[in-house]
Amino acid sequence: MGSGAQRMISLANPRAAVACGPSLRNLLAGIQPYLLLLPAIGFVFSITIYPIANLFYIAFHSTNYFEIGDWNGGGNFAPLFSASGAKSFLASSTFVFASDVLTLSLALLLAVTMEAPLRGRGLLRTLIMVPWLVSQVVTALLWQALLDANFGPLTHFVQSVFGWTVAPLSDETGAMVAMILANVWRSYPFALVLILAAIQSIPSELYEAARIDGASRWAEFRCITLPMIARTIAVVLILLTFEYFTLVTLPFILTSGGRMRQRMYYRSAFGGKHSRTTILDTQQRRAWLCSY
Amino acid sequence: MFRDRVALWMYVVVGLASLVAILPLAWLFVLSLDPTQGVASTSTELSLRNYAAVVFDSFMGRYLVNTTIVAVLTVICTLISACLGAYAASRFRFPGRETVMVGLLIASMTPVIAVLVPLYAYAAKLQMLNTYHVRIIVFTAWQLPGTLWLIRAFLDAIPIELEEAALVDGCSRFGAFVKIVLPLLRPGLIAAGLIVFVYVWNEFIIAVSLASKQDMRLVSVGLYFYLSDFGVEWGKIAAGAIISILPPAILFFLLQRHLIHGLSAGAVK
Repeated sequence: MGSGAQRMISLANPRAAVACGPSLRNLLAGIQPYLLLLPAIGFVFSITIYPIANLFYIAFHSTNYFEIGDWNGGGNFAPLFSASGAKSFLASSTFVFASDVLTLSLALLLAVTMEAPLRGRGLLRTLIMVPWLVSQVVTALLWQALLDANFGPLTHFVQSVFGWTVAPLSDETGAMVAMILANVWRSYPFALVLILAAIQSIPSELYEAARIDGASRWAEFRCITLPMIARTIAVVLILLTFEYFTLVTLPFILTSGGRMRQRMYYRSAFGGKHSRTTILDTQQRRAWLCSY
Repeated sequence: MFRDRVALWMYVVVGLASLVAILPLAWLFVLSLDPTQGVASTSTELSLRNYAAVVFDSFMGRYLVNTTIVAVLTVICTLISACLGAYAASRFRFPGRETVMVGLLIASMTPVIAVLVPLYAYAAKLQMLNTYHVRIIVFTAWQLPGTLWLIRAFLDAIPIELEEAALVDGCSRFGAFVKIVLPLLRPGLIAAGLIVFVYVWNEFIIAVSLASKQDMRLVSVGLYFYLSDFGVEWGKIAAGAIISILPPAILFFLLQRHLIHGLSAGAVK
């Protein structure tokens, strides 16, 4: 073995390096991985971890704009458990649940269909991915226009087919439905790609064996596909739920920040410094809880 | 016969899904060509007047430049830091390795608005508001965990024997990385780079909080303020929206093969 390979092996295992005897060279070799990780850790720590710790600290103290006063116990958290707080929470939960269900089923359906080799699959797959590119701002503006009472094609369609006169964005339920639709449209490509990747990793011998045994396509799906991708579906569900609970831009712009005061949790965060910290803090805790 | 019918249904489902994905945007494009303000849609006049208004009479050009600068620099920063860290996590065994990786992952799960207030306070104190670098730093920090995990997955798939062979032949460790690992890592780098670029291009909350001066805004912020500056002139807003979609869309269509491959490789793990 040349000296290079020996060095590599000794570098990969710091304990082996130490066993070769203490020296400055071994010390440098030992801390090399930590040095390599330093930029990443530095960035993430200063932008994410430290501010969050700070937030936890502030949430328990009374504040006056940027001054931090005495310990306040659970005082800052009180508004969250009031009636309006509960209503916001309910609104958030409905939004998240509905979006989850719709996005997952759509992505699952599409993934199962797209896994089979169809002609032109490449182009169709590219087209289906497009909503992922569109920013939340543009999505919100787009759906605001689509559902506009005057010229939106969707409202026009509903009016001509069902005869209702609807103005979706001017009442609460309508705004909620609009948000869910826009959100599902925007986020299903992400779920689709992950689920599709999981389906494509299922060995085809399983399907062949099932086919020999005379299984129908539905049985194939139920007994082979679903169990094998169950973990991926769980991961996708967690990721989506996280994203939806902390979604701000889409609801904010879709409801034009004031035209329709759809109460989502974080929207009440834009009022007053000390309510801001508590609501953000508790919402984050909720998001963490959701992941376990 | 049974197979053909199922195939037909599959085409129907996928075709419908593509329509659902594309039609809203196609309609937005048609709306942007409408010189009237969208109210009287009886006229079938098509013109590029809205695009001219957006490009020449507004700050959109400046916003595009700002966003390109911030996005490209963020991609570079993120890829470099992520490669370094992923290399350490993949090629070394050291105490605390998994802790750090999982810790980074958990850090990436924090909601953006939770850190918004502290970040704004720090940026104000350090007088870094309305600069490029504060946004680059924040976006990099935000994307690092995900990118690091993605690149680590790719690195794990590249056999270490290749580098060992290079070292045996007298190559330095860094040289082995550059000459052997990087070319093999290219699809992963492209996928990660595209994800970061699209994220920065579309980001709104951090962008609007950290840079509100008009000549430093990003495209997404500019579009939002365009809505309030010009009232509800749907034609112009649609034109602005279409223009803002173009750069990531073009990049995506050029690189999408790498992206799907990259996400699949990462997800399988």
